[in-house]
Amino acid sequence: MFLKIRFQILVVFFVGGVSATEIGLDFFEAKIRPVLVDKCYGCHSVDAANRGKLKGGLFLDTKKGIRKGGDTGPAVIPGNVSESLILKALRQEKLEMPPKGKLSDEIISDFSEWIEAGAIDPREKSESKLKSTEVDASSHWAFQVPKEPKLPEVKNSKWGRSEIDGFILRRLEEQNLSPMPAASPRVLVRRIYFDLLGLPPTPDQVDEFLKNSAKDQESSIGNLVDSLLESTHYGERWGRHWLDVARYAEDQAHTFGVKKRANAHQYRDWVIKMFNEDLPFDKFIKFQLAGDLIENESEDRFRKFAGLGFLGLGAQYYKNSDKAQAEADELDDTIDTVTRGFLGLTVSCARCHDHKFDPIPTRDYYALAGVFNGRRYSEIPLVEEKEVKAYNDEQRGIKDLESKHRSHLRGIGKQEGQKRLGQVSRYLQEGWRLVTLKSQGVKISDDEFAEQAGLHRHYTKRFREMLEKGRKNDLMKRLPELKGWHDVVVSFTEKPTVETLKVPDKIVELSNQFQNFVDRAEEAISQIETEKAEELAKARNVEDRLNKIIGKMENDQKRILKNIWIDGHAPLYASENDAYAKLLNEEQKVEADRMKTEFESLRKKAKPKYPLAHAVQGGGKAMQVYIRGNPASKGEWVARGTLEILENEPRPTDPEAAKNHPFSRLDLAEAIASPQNPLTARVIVNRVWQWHFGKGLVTTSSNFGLLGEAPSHPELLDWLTVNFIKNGWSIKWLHREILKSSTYQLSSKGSSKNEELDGDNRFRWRFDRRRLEVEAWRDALLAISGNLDPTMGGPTIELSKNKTRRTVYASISRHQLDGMLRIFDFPDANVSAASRTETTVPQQQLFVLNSDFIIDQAKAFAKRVTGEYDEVPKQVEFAYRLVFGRSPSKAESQVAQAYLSIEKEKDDKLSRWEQYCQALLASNELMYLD
Amino acid sequence: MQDGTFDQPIMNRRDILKRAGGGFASLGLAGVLADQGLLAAESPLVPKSPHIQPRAKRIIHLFMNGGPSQVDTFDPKPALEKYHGQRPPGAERKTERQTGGLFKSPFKFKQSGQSGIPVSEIFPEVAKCIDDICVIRSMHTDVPNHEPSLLMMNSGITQPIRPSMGSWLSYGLGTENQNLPGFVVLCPGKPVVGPQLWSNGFLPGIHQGCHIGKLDPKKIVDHISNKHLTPRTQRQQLDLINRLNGLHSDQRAGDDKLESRIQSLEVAFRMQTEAQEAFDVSKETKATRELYGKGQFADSCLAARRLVERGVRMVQVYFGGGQPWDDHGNIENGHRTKGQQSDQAVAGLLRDLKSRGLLEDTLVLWGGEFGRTPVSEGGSGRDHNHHGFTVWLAGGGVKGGMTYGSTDEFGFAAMENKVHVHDLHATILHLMGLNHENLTYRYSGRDFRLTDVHGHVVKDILA
Repeated sequence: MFLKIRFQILVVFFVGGVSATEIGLDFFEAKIRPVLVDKCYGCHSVDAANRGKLKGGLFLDTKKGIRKGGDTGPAVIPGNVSESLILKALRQEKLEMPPKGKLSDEIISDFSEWIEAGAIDPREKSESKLKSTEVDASSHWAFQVPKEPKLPEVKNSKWGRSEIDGFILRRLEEQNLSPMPAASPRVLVRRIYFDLLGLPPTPDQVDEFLKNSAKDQESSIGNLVDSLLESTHYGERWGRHWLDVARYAEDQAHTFGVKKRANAHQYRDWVIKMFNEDLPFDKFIKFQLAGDLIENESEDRFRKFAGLGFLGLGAQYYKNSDKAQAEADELDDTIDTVTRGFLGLTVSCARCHDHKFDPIPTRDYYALAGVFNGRRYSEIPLVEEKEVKAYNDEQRGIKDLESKHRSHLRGIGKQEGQKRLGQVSRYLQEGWRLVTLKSQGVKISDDEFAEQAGLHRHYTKRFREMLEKGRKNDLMKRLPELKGWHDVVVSFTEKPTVETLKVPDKIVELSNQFQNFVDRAEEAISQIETEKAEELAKARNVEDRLNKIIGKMENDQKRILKNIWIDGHAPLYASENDAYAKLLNEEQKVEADRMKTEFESLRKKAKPKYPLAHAVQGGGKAMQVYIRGNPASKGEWVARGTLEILENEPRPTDPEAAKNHPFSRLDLAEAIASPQNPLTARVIVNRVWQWHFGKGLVTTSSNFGLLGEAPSHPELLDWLTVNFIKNGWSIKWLHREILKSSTYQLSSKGSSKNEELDGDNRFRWRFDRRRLEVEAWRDALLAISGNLDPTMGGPTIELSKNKTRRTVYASISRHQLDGMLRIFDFPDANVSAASRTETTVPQQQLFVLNSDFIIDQAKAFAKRVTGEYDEVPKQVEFAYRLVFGRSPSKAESQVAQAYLSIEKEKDDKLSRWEQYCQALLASNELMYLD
Repeated sequence: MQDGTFDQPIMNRRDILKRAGGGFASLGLAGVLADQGLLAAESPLVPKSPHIQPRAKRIIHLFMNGGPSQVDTFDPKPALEKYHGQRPPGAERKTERQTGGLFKSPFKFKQSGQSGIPVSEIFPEVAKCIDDICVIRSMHTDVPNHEPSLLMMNSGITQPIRPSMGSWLSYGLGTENQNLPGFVVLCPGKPVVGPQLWSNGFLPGIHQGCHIGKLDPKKIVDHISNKHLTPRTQRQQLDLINRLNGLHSDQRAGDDKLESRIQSLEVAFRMQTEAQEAFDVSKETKATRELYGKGQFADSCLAARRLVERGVRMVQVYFGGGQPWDDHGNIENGHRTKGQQSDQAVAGLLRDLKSRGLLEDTLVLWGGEFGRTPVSEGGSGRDHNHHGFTVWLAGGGVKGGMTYGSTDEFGFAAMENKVHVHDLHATILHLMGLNHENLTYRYSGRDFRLTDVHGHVVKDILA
C-alpha cells in the first residue's frame, strides 16, 4: 500500500503504577498540586489544550509533561533546582510566571524543596483526554486512497438521470427530504451561461435553447454544455477560479521599491489557455511546480514555462530589516499555497510546532521547504533563444547609436571649451565683475553682460556661478592657485555700473597667474599629442582621445584642467543639452539631429520586448528545522521530501544523508499529481463542485484535515474522484458529469418542509441561489450595455480606466486592490483563497447608484434599447430580454410605463430611460442567479 | 398609475421590516433587526457585544509619523546636559544610522498641571491638559526602520499582510453608525508605506480604513455623491428599484440575501447626505474652530471629533504625508515647527472632547512609530530609536496625570515596566472591551490575532 502512516501521535499518557511515597506525596498534595491547579493549569494542561489555550507547548498536569517541559525545555528536573525552568519562571528570572503576578516566597521555596527532594509526582494521567488523540489520524477519511463505491440503491427510481443523482437522492431519502422540481429551461440556460462563461446568454441564445429544449430537453442541455465548453470565454471564467487559489497578483504587499511585474499576465493567460485546452489536471500541477524540469513534454516555451508564475509570482517581502525572517516568510507563502492549493492541508501550521491536529510534524514542513529553499526568482524568455538574441542585438545597436550621439555632443562641448582655455584670465576677471555687479543689486542678465563683454553667454554664466562665494561648486575649493580671491573686498559709495566697475589689481594678478598655469597645461597637451600620436590615433572619439591625453599629464596640470574645463562642475564644461542648445553651429546641428533621428526612428520601429515568464529556478537546499519558526534557532537536518504520510520510504535522518537526499521540485510535483495521492484529485474535484454549486461537498475546500468539515456525500466525492482520474484528470469531463445531473438542474425555490430539516441545503435538495462574483456581474453589465470588448489576454488593464474589457484582465494588486474589486469581496491576493466571502454593504450600493461605470452602462443600454425599437412596450420587452433573458410580467410592464412617462426634471442629467435602465442593472434579479 | 407615484416610497419602513422580519424570523434575529431600525442585519458592521465591559467606545489615534523624539517632548533627561557630546557606556546602541555623542535637548521642560509632569516647551497647550494624560515612557518596538515599525504600530507585525488595529476593531465591535465607515484615516497625501497601514488584510474588505486625503465632503467615500440626478429624482429611482426588487422577492419568499440588499440600498441612499455632513468642518461654530486653530492638522483633529461623535469606531489622524517627524538633522527647528503646527489642535481636541463629555469614553492615543536617539546624528539631529520611546493616552478608561515606565538615564532604551507595541495593542483592545486573545479570525488554516502570540494588558494605567 502506498499510504503508510508512520506518524507518532502526540502522546501525553503515561502508563505505570502509582507508588505512594511517604512524605513526598503528602507534600506534593498539600503544597504543590493546589498551586499548579490554581495558578498553572489554566494555560498548561490537557484541558487548556482542548480549549485552545495551551501556552508554550507545556503541560504541567502530568508527571511526564512537567518533566518533558515545553518549547524552552524541561520544567522540572528532579533534584536539580538550578536547572528546573519552573523555578526560574516562578522567581521571575526568566519567563515571569504566573503572568498575573509573582507568587509568595513561601510557595517558591516549597517548589524548591519539592524538586530538591526528587519531585515526587503521582500524576500519571491527566484528568482529561487530549482531543486530538481521540481520532486516529491515520484513519481519517481524507488520507485513504479513494475507491470507487458501488452505486447506491434508491427508492424513487424516477428521479435523477446520472450517477451523481443516485448518490444525492440516497442521502435525501435518508434525511426524509425530497428534491425540488427541475428549474425551467429559461432559468437553466441563464444558469449554465453564467456558470460556464461568466456571461449572460443573449436573447437569441435563449430563444435557440428554448427551441431545442422543447424538442429534446436532455440532448439540448448536453449540446449547450458542449458548445459552451468550446468557447474561449470558458477559460476566462474558470481560469479565474484557479487564480483565486493561486493567489495571483502582479505586485507585492509592501510598496517599498516594488514594481508591478510587467509579465505577470503571462501566467494568467497560461491558466486561461490551459483551462480552454482542458489540460489534464495532473499535468497542470506539474507545469506549475516544475515546468522547467519536465523533459519531452512540450517544446512550446509558453506552455512549458509560463505556468511557473504559480511560484514566481508569490510573495516577496521587505528584506531591509530582517532578511532571514523575510526569506522564511517567502518559503512559507510557497508551502502554504502548494499544500492548501493542491493537497487541501494546512501544512503551514507545522512551521513552528508539530501540527496540532493533522499528522504533519514540523520536520515535514522543512522537508517541503527544502525542496524550494535556495530557489531563484528569474525571468524566463518565452521565445526562442535566437529571438532573444535578435532583440538584444537590436537594442544594443540602438543604444550604441544613442551613446555615439551623446558622445558627439560632449566632444563638441569639449572642443568649444578648449578654444577658450586661452581666455580663462578674461573670463575670470569679467566673472568677478559680473558677480560684483549682481551683489550690488545691479540688474543685468548673464546674457546681456556676455554680449557687452564680447564673451560667450554659456561660459559667462558658468564662470559667474562658480565665482560666487559659498556656492557648492566654488572654484576656490579645488584651485588653491586662486587663493585670496574672496579676500578682495571692494566698498562702494555708490552703485557701480557695467561701464564704471574696474577689476581690482589683486584679481587681475590672480587671473593672469592662473592663465599661466593653464597655458603651460595646454603646452603639455600639444607635447603629448606629438609624442603619442600613434596611440592617440586609436581613440574612438574626441572624448576618448582627450581622456587618454589627460591620463598622461602630471597631477597638478591634470587637476587644473579637470577643474577648469573637463569635469562636470568646471566652468568651461558643457553638458550635452548645453552643447546642443548653445554651442553648435548650423552644420553641427544638422549632423546632431540626423544622428538623433536615426536612433529614435530605429527605437520606434524596434520590436517590443519579448514576453517572459516570472518563474523560479533551482532550489533544493535541504534545511534544518527552525525551532519555533525562528530562523536564528536551527535544529535537526531534514531530508527534502513530501509529507511523511504520503511517502513510502522513511527519509534518511542522519544529518549528512539528510543534506544530500535527492528530491527535486519535479519529484514533489509527481508525488502531488499521483493518482495514488489520496488528496490531490479529491481536492480539485471538490473545488470544481464548489465553483458550480457555491459550496463544496467538503465545505472547507482547502482544508481536508481533521479540523476541516467532513464531506456531506463521501461516496459521491470518491466516485467522482476515481472517475475523474480514469477520465484523464479532465476538468471538462467533470463539468459534463455535473451539469447533466438532475441535481444541478434543480430549481432554486424554497420548500418549507425541506427548510425545516435542512435549511443550509447541505443535502442538495435545491440549487442554491447565489450572488454573481464581481467579475461575472461587471461583465454582465458590459454585455447588456453592448460595451463588452471580447479581446483576450495581454497586459492588465486598470478597471478605473478601461470600461470595456472583461474583469479577469484587471490589474490585481496585493497592496492596493482596485476599489471596485475590493468592495465587491474580491479575495486578498496575499494568500490562496479557498472561497469568496460575501458581504452586503452600502458601499456596494453606492457604486450601483453613483459610479461613473454604472452610469456609462446605463446610458449605453438605454441607447441600445431605444435605438432598436420605437414603442415603449417593445423597448421594455427588449430591455428585459437583454437583462433577464425573459419578458416582463404585466406588473413589471406597468411599472416601466409609469416611470418612463414621468417628465424629466430640468436639473437631471439622465433621461428617464437612462434612469430606468440603471434601475434594471441595479436590480437583485441581475445580481442573484437562480 | 399616476405621475408622482414615485414620490412616495413604494415600500414604507413597516413593509420592509415586515418582510425582512419574516425572513429573519427563523434565525431569531427579527428583534435585533427591529432594534436597529432599517439597518442591514447581515452587515458585518452592525455593533457587536464586546467581550468585557468597555471603558472606551471609540478611539482617535494622533499618529506623529516619522517618530518624535521622547527626550525632547515628554521624557526629559538631565544626564544629557552632563554628558553632552560624549559617548559613555549606555549610549552605544545600534540604530539605523551612524550617530555621535549624546545630545542635550534644545528645549526646556516645565512641570505642568497638578501632576507636575514635565512637558517640553514645544507643547505649551498640551502641557495644560497633562492632568488628563497618561504618558507611557517605556515603549519599545522591534526595528529602527520606518516601514516595519509603521506596520508594527498599525498591524502588530513588521511585514505587510495583516489587518490593522482599526480593521480589527471594526471587525470585533462593528460600528455605531451604519451610514459612515467604521474606520477612517485622515492624512493629507499618504504616510510612508501607504494603504497597507489601514489594510483590512484578510478580514472582509468592508473593514478597511477609509482614507481621506483631502477634507472634501464630496470625496470622502467612493461614489458618495450622485453627479447626475437631483435628490428627488434619485429617490424616485430608488423607489423604482425597490418596486422591481419587491416583485422579484415575491417569487422567492424568505431569501435573506435579497432582503438585506434591499435594505443596504436604502442605507446607501441615506449615507450620501449623512457622510458628507460628518466631514464638513465648516459646520462648526467660530469658537470651536478657533479652539483647534488653523491648518490641515487642526481641521483633521476637528473632523475626527465630528466622526467619533457620530459613532465612527476609530479615526486615525496622521500628522502629515511622508514622515514629517523624522528629524535626522536640525531637530531644534524641526520639532519646534511641528510642535507649533500641532500643539493647539491636539489640546483643542482634548478640551473639546472633554467639554462635550466625550473624553470619558473616547480614547486618544498620541505617538509615532518609534522614538529618536539621545545621541546626535550629524550634530543637530537624532536617528530612529526602537529601543525606547514615548506615547501617551488620554480619556476612555486611562488614568490622567500619570507617567508609566521609564527609560535609562539617557532615554535610550526602555528599562522599567517596558511596554511593547503588542502590549499597547492589548491594552487598547482591553479598553475597547475586547480580549486580545479572543479577538481572532480564522484564515489560511489558523486563528490570527492582532497581538499574534504576544501582548499583556498594562493594568497599572487603567482608571
